[in-house]
Amino acid sequence: MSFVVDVSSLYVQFGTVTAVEGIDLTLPAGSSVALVGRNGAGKSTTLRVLAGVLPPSFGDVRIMGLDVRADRQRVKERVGYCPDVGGLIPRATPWEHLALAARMRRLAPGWERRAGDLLERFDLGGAADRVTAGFSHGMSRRMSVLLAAFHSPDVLLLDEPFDGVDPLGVEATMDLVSEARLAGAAVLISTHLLDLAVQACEEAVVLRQGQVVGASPAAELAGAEGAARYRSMLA
Amino acid sequence: MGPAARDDGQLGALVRLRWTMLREPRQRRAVLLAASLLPLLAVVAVAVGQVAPDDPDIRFNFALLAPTTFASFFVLTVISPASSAGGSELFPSDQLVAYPVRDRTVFGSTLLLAPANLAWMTHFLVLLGVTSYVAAPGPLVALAIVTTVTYAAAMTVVGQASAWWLEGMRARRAGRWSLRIVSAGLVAALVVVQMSGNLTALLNNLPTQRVAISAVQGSEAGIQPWTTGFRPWLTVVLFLFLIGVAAFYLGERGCGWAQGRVSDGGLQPESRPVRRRVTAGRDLAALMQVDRASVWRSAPLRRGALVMALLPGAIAAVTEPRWDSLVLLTGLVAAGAGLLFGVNAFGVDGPGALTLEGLPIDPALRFWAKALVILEFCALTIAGALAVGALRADGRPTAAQVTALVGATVVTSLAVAAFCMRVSVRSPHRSDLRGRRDTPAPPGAMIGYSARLAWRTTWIAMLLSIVALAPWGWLPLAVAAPMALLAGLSLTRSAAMWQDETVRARVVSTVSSG
Repeated sequence: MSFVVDVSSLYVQFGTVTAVEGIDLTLPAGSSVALVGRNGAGKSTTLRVLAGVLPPSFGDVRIMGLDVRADRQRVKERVGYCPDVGGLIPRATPWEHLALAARMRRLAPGWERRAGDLLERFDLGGAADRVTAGFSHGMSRRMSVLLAAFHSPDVLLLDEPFDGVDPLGVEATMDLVSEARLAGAAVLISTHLLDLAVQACEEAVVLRQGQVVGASPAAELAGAEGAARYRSMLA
Repeated sequence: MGPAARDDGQLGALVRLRWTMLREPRQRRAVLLAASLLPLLAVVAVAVGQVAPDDPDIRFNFALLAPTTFASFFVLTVISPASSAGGSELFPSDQLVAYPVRDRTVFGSTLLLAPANLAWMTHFLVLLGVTSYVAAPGPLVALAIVTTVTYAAAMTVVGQASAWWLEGMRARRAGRWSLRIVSAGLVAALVVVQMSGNLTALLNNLPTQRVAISAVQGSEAGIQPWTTGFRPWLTVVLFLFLIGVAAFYLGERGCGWAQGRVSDGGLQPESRPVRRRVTAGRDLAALMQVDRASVWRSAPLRRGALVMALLPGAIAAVTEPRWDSLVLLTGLVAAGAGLLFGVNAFGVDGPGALTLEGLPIDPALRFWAKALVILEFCALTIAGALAVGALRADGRPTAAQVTALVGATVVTSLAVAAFCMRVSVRSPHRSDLRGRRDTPAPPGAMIGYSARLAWRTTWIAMLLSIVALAPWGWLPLAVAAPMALLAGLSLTRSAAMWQDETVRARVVSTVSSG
């Protein structure tokens, strides 16, 4: 079986600190996986490597069969990435973010329609021409999510997409994840919010101190019993 | 322990924390070196003034210009912090919200950092040099220098205090309009005075004449009786000291008032929509569009550019400069423009740096887009300064003076862009310049950058101002060409460094960190 995301023995080191220590991870097309774990578990670092933003120290990381080291640019064409820290240029507007993405990703004419549609769905239509420096945290999160999904990527990487987002924004994000999966994309979501991770994804991978300490169907982490099981994996 | 002592404790604690945050010995050495440069240069300026050839005509001209030089220093001390919403702070205010920082501490920190400003340092050194030259030679020049240093300190406190009161006024629409009307009125009045031919008379009757005379009297006190030597000197020094103390207390209150004023939103352009533009047809141009927006949509950067474009030129214009001396302006303005944002060019992307890095863009394009935006920013501010400075320039320029001005504009801009891109790649900082008093890097780094940039651009400008005296128009260009080439090579080396994905990841992680 060929995987859209194929990570084998991934290590990421920052000087003497090892942030990710031998992670193996595979995602087939149309799948959705939640990366859960405590702060500093290595979730965001893993997503940054998959997005081609951070080079891996060791290991093999492939997106659609492309090596993230050797085919960095082509990997970036296939991936949509929502970073955990806002991810927006403070003095550019949402529309300018989308226009730049359309330009750099060589989107066909007519992208404006999808851009407008996404902005409306995420309740950002009225703020399309305001600089993002004035956005609330939730608005920035929503904008970052829609920007990642804008070009209908083969791999959608969402780092804390629900953080500080209101229920309507969460709903729009859930819908977007479902649509991406239906279109054959692999979706990887990093989050602290276990309930939403269970709701959005079919599989869950638990990280602790840079290592995978558990993987199961997301539904098994639902409810009080699932939460207790999750906590036992974090201890 | 009294309130004043407690407040001093706060400032000391913040300074110590800043010092602790310089983790590497190399950084600490650089800050110490840069900080010791000002006293060192001050000694050099005084020494040069004392040993310069004693030509009575030149000395007379300098004595005539001294009050104007003192006055222009005052203008600078007011405009510089006012253009940065009260001045630079040891820490951005959003990083101190969890602590009960007192108004006196905030005011004290902005005051402490006021000299860490290229224009302030340059002007202060000029003041010392002029004082030393017009004062009587000998050991009593120390008294003249005491006058000048007291004046500089007092005016810096006055400028800083005014800046906080102005910042408070700007919080409301009525205050902003009042300031605009007053500023426009002052400019209009100056234009009328100039057009009516009364500017020289006005400059000859400035109140700073008393300060300049007092400095000279101090240096000549040894050869005169008490009443005509020491006494007037001491009176002026004490008067200046009292002005400084009063300004400190007023400034502390102004700082508290400004910080407590709730803005009516007029200073937050983020809340207003901007005009939608067509995206450029080429990748490089599209990236430059975004970078330009990051710069020109920032109110502090716009104000900074305006000050750099107008103030040095206006001060130069007052002195009816020669065209070759205008070349010296290019170095100061280019360095000042680079310090506004260029020394941390990737910082303006803020958290968006991660998204940009995730786009399928040739990394080289991102580098060159930043470099070109810095280059055009420098060139534009220099052009503005030269246009203003040339208003009262002496006669028509020779071919060599014109080519020297063009060459200096290009080379200093290139040198600044090369320096800025090198430090941006090597030493990134988290600062997206969203706050009104934010600087692109922490104070220690800014002092180092100021000194290094000033050193480079001053040498370039000095060399070209000398060759501007030559009878051959081609000579300045011939001198400028190799310097431009060197700056270009430096830019190419930094671009090569940026291609390294590990270097890029470090820059992006730093500037985007929350």
